[in-house]
Amino acid sequence: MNEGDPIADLIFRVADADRAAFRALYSAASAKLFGVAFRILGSRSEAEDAVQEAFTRIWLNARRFDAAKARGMTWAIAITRNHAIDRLRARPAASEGDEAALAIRDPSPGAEAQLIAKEEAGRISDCFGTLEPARADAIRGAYLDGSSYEELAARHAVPLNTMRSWLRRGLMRLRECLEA
Amino acid sequence: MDDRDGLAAEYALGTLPLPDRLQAERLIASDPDFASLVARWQAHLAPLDAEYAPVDPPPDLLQRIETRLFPVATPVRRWRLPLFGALTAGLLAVAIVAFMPATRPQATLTATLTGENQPLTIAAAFYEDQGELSFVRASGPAAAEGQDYELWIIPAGQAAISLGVLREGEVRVPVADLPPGTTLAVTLETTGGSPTGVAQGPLLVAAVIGDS
Repeated sequence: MNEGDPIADLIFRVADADRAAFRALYSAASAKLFGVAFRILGSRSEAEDAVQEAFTRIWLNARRFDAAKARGMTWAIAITRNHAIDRLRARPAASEGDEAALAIRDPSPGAEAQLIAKEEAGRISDCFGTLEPARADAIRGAYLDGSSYEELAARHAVPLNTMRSWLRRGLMRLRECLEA
Repeated sequence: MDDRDGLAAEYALGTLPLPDRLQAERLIASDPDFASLVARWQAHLAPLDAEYAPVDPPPDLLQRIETRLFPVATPVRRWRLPLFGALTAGLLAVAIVAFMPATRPQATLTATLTGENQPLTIAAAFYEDQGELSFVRASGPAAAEGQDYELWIIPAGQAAISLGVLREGEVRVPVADLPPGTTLAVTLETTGGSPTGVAQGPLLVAAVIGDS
């Protein structure tokens, strides 16, 4: 049923409180999840806390994983990413950590695009190509770095509401392309 | 894109401020249709995950996670009153309640719920003979105004079940059995606890009942 998705198989075993499967899942996924948290939070110690929380939620919520809706790694990344963004948003505004986080980010879509290797990533890349470059860049930055509307509006020098409607329209265009 | 789909898209994208994100997370937990909208957007954007470069976590992180999730629960020898069985139960019950409050049966199992960098600790005790599980705040602050600590029991491989909120003093709830692998957890929720029966706030402390 989950052929080609060994991470999903491990999550199903974790749902049965299988600690060996939990270790195997950690081995397989921790570097990727730590990379996600580190990129969003920009601090190793905060990324450690976030990944610890993510694995705790994976252990506690594994029963809710639905292989029909997501691949195992996608589910684990979503848990980690959403928690890391919540932590980022909970920070006091304009703290030093934000500056550090911005400093390690790579704003170049060209460099990021080169990293895309998978077939489906190629498809989304094609669809990004149908967007205006600035909007594609804003969507990519929002997703990968956890940028807020405020940060994106400042970076692209547009009012916040303009940024919001840019992104909403960009997402709609992206969906039309992906579902075409 | 209607407002709900817009909220789902913006949650998946990650751009919302915290209050809006928390609202979306409550909807995900309580509204399957909204959760499906988020899942759809998540699936569309997931190919971008390929751009996250792996970074090795510190070597001791797994151990820290396991220590938090699987602290060894301390089994306590069962305590019995051999004499009492021979006496008249009704009379004795009155005597215990009136004069001997200290002779309450001891717990058959105790566990301390802890979390990393978390000043809050919760002491749990299982009274097998009474079929009761007790919780009390052992250290750390009370929940802030507008918030409550909510207690959860998670039988191995099953969904979490709310046991209500913990404020000052002890909470005792009827629990028939507490087998190894059961997780006890506390989340921070709005006053009165999660309205949906599914945890919506952050996990603060937890313990998993060990083999003993």
